[in-house]
Amino acid sequence: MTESFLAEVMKLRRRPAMWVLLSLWFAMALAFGYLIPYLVYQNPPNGGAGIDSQQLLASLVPAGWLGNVVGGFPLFGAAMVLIAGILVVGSEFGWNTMGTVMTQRPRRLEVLSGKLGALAVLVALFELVVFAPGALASAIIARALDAPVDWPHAAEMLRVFAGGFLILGAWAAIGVALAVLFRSTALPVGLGLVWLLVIESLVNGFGDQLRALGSLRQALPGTTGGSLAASFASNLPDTPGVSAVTGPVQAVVVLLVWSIVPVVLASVFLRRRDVT
Amino acid sequence: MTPDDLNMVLETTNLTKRYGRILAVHELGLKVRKGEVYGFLGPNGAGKTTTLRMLLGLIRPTGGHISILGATPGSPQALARIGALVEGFGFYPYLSGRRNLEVLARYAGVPKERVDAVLEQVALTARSGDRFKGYSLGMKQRLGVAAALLKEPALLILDEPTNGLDPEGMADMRSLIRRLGQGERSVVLSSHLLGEVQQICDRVGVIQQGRLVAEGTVAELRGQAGLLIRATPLDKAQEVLATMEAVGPVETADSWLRLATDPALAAEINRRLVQAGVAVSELRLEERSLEEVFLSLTHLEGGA
Repeated sequence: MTESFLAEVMKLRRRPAMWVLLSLWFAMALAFGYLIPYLVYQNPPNGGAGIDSQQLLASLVPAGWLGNVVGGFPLFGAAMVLIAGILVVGSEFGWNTMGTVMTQRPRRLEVLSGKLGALAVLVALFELVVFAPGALASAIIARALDAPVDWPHAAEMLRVFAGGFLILGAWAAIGVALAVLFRSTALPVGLGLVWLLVIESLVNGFGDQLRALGSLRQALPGTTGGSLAASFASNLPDTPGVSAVTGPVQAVVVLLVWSIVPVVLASVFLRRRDVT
Repeated sequence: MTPDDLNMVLETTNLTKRYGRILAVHELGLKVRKGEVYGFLGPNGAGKTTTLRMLLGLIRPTGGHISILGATPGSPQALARIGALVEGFGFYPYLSGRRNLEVLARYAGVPKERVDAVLEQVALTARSGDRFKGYSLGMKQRLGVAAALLKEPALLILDEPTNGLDPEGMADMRSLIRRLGQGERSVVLSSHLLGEVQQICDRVGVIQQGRLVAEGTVAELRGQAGLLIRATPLDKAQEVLATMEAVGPVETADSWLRLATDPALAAEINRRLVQAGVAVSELRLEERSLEEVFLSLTHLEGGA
């Protein structure tokens, strides 16, 4: 399995698509998490009507750093890692490299384990490229605004980092499962994004009106990811995809299920199907 | 266990693959011995690639048994000693040829130094730093062979390795395969090109509609050679030949006599005919080409 993992890392390191995703995610997180809110805080539109300046400021300084960054995970981050998960596996079918790899030496599940291991590293990297610059941006903003620089405790950082990993990990696993199921990249990306951006929103929107949908949304990865993020970011201004529909414990359980079930499904399909 | 069994690197028994109502491979029995270059011959769609993928564990057979290098297909034990270039296998387009091989070497658990050796073997060292997506078809095929050689395999499986190559590329590839097949290594070469198989292979299996319709050495498949004689007068020549016991049946075709006889008798036959006053204007060996054999086999099977 180590050989498969290292081979996968070799591929990912040199894959332009991964660097594009990471760069885009980094730019989006900084722009929507810090730059635009800072500009709004400095120059509030309509004389500041409808804007809670104190809440906005709280999200921009180090004390609000973790919540601010993780608030981007349920929607933007999820979309990025979903695509990454699909690319890591689906491209092997598109390039016909799955057969090449499967005839080297490792068993199929070893190959998949290597991919999942490398994907886990990639997800951690996705966190790092937004948490680290976010910390820097929040420190700069605090200095510029003469606001206190109060960093969260290490335990809190660890807790949020782990929670963020779970939110992103579930969507990366879903991406892997979709790629194995459809043995391609285009269709899984389309379906995955429709699920994340459309179906989750619709179910969430109608969840208050229909009891059945209300129960269903508590089992969806997007809604529960948003609930977990909300538990880390209680003082965050309205953020797409972040709302406390379930408690954090239920959110963790549901996200764990969404991390494990797709991996099991992917393993079964990859092991049993012919590689043509 | 017979000495032949000990020598066997690949054996399939009643190997069958069915896709719904379509029978892609039907009760195939192949035997490949150590050190031989085995030609797996058949028209497009005959089931060659499906069979090779089953040998590699990529496709699960519907029925039958495969023993490959004493292990089950797709097992690490078998794959560690098999190099394969199967139709449709790909490489990572954004990586160079060398990086592609390094990735595969990592998967296979072979030292990185092997990459230089195989690049040298297929004469791709100079272009190994270029991205795979910029390679010509010939370079891609050579990279495929290099990848197949990474593990220094005991068994090399090559599926239509000259497909799409220009005549020069085909000649290069064939000479490379001939070199690779020397020594203890066994090679299974799938092809629909008869000339290729005839030039390279020690033994040949012919597959048609998923069934093995013939197997043997090229000479065995072509059958016993005969003689063709153009002589006048023809009836006199026939009389003379009828007196020769060693000469088998004689057929007449236009102004030719076709003899199913040992070609070593040619000089004696010529002498007897000339002595009898028959003018022999032409006497030559008649051999069926593998193409004729193949067409007769596949035509018969296809029509049956």
